[in-house]
Amino acid sequence: MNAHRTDGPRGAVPRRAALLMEAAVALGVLLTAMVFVAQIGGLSVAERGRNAARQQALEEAANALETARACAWDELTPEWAAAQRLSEASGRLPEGKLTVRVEAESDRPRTKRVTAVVSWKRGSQEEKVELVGLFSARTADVGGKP
Amino acid sequence: MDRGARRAFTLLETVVVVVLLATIMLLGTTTIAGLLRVERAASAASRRLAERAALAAQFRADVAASAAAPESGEGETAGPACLVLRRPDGSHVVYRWDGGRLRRRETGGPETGAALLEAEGAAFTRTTGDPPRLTLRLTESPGRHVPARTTEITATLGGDLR
Repeated sequence: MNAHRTDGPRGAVPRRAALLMEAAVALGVLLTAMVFVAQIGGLSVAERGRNAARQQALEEAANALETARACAWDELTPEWAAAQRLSEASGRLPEGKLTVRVEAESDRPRTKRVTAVVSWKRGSQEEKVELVGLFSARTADVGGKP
Repeated sequence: MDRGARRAFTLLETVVVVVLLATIMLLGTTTIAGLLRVERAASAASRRLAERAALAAQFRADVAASAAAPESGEGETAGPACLVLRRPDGSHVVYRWDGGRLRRRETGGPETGAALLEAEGAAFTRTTGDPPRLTLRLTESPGRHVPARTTEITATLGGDLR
C-alpha cells in the first residue's frame, strides 16, 4: 500500500483500471442513446401514420366536394349532405366519419356553402380536417331596376 | 522503485475491456444504422405523400378541364388501367397504368411518369351521372411489413366547364 501512495509526486493514489471504468461508462451512455433512438423510431413511425391518415382524410374531404361539384345546384340539400359516406378506401382512418353540411350563404345570393369534415380517432383524441366549397347556381336571380 | 510498485492490468482485465469495446462498437454501429433507417423511412414516406398529393391535384385538374372521357384516343383504349380524356380543343390526356408506374401523356407531349413508383396497382372507374365522376383507385405498399393502402381520388368530368 505504501508503494501505491508514493507513486505520484505528491503521494496521490495511482489510477487503476481506468480503462475498464471508462468502457463501462461509455457502454452506459451508448445504451441510453439506443433507448433514445428507439423512442425516436417509435415517434417517427407514429408521425408517419398520422401524416398518412391526415392525407387520407384530405382526399376523402376533397372527394366529397368533387361529388358536390357533380351534383346539380338544386340537389345540394341537407338531405344530400346527410347521405354522404366515406369511401371503402378509408379503412386507414380509425372510427372515421364524414360530415357534410350544406348552408345557404346569407351575403351571397344563390350560393351554397358545402363543408366536408372528416374526423377520426387517434388514441384518445379526435382529429379532423375540414374543406369548404362555395357552389353558385349558373342562373342569376332576376334583378335590377326597370 | 515507485514505478515498479504500480500493478499492471491483468489478462482478464484486458480481455474484459476488449469485449466491452467490441460491444460498444457493435451497439454504436447498430444505433447509427437504426438512425439512418428511421431517417430514410421518414424521408420516403414524406416523398410518397407529396407525390400522391401532386398526383391528386394533377388528376383532378385534368379531369375538371376535360370535356369527355372517350373510349379511345391517342392510340389507347380506355379501360380499368387506362383513362383517356378529351379536352375542349380536341387534344387528349392519357393516364395509363403500366409496369408498376402510372404514366400521364398529353397530345404531342412526352410521356411523364406520375410518380408513385411503389404503387402496386391503379384502376380507373367511372360513376354514371351528369356529369360523370371519374375515380382513380391507387393501391400502395409502403413497406414489407406494412399492409397495402388504398386511396381513391375522385374528380368531376368537365367540372371547370360547367
